[in-house]
Amino acid sequence: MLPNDNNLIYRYLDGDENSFSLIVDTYLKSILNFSYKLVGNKKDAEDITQEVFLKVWKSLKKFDIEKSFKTWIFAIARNTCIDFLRKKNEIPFSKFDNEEGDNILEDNLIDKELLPDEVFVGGENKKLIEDVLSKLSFIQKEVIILRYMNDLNFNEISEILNIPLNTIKSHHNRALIKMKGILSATI
Amino acid sequence: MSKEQYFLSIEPSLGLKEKIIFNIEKEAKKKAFFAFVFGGLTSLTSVLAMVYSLILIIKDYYVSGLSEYMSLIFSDSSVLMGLWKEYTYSIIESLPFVTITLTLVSLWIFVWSIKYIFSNLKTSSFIS
Repeated sequence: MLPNDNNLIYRYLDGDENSFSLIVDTYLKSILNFSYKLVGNKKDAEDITQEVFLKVWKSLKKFDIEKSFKTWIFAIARNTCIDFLRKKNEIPFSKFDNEEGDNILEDNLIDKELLPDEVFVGGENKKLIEDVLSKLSFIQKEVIILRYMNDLNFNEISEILNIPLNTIKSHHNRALIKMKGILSATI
Repeated sequence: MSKEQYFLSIEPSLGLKEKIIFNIEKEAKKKAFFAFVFGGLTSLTSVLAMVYSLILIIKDYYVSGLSEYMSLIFSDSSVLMGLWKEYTYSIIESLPFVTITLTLVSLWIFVWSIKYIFSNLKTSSFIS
């Protein structure tokens, strides 16, 4: 049986130095890809990933072992990406989105009960999905990536983004509507 | 719920993990070095303070008259048996509290700084 994250942290704090290496192995690819989706550049994503693991190592003693490590590390990655984008003045927001990521135009769309399968099956071409993602607002993109690429549930996403659960669900719905709209216009 | 197959994903460059471990090791060594310098200076200062306060204790021991009270134990212990309460109060009154406190604080700082140095040296060894 593979040890879970919190066991690895216990073991690392108890002096088993290899456990941290296993934590890096477990999360390296997902943190790299999450950062890549947010910053859009592999080199920057790798720098951010290095910074994320350094931050994790520095604050591991302060980590509450009762909480989810996955949520914690993604929150660190998210904040590191935002800091990076702020430094570069590159936090992109669609011109129709307000600061909350709400879109005035999409509020009037009817298709609220959209199933994610409809969206993704409609866009089996990875490049196309990538293009669609780039058209989402920053928060919508984060929600979609965390939900469908990293398998996190809405509660976990809400914790990572520090946004109420219902707002997350609303961003999720709006993102799917927007994705479906773009995909059906493209295909 | 995973739709991972629909997303483009990138692979980490060769040596990225090693870079991460290297950065952490570098940071751990830096932390240990600062802990060693800070802890070393603190322990040295506390040793000097301890020596100084011990000299003060010895001086205070004679100035306060505590030495005379102590010599009574050997010279006239029968008087002490009768007046043990007064004798105890006198001993307490003549104790050099300030210098004793100074010595104990210095000792505590010394022990803490040594512990600090060793705990940081221990965590500085990060093996991948």
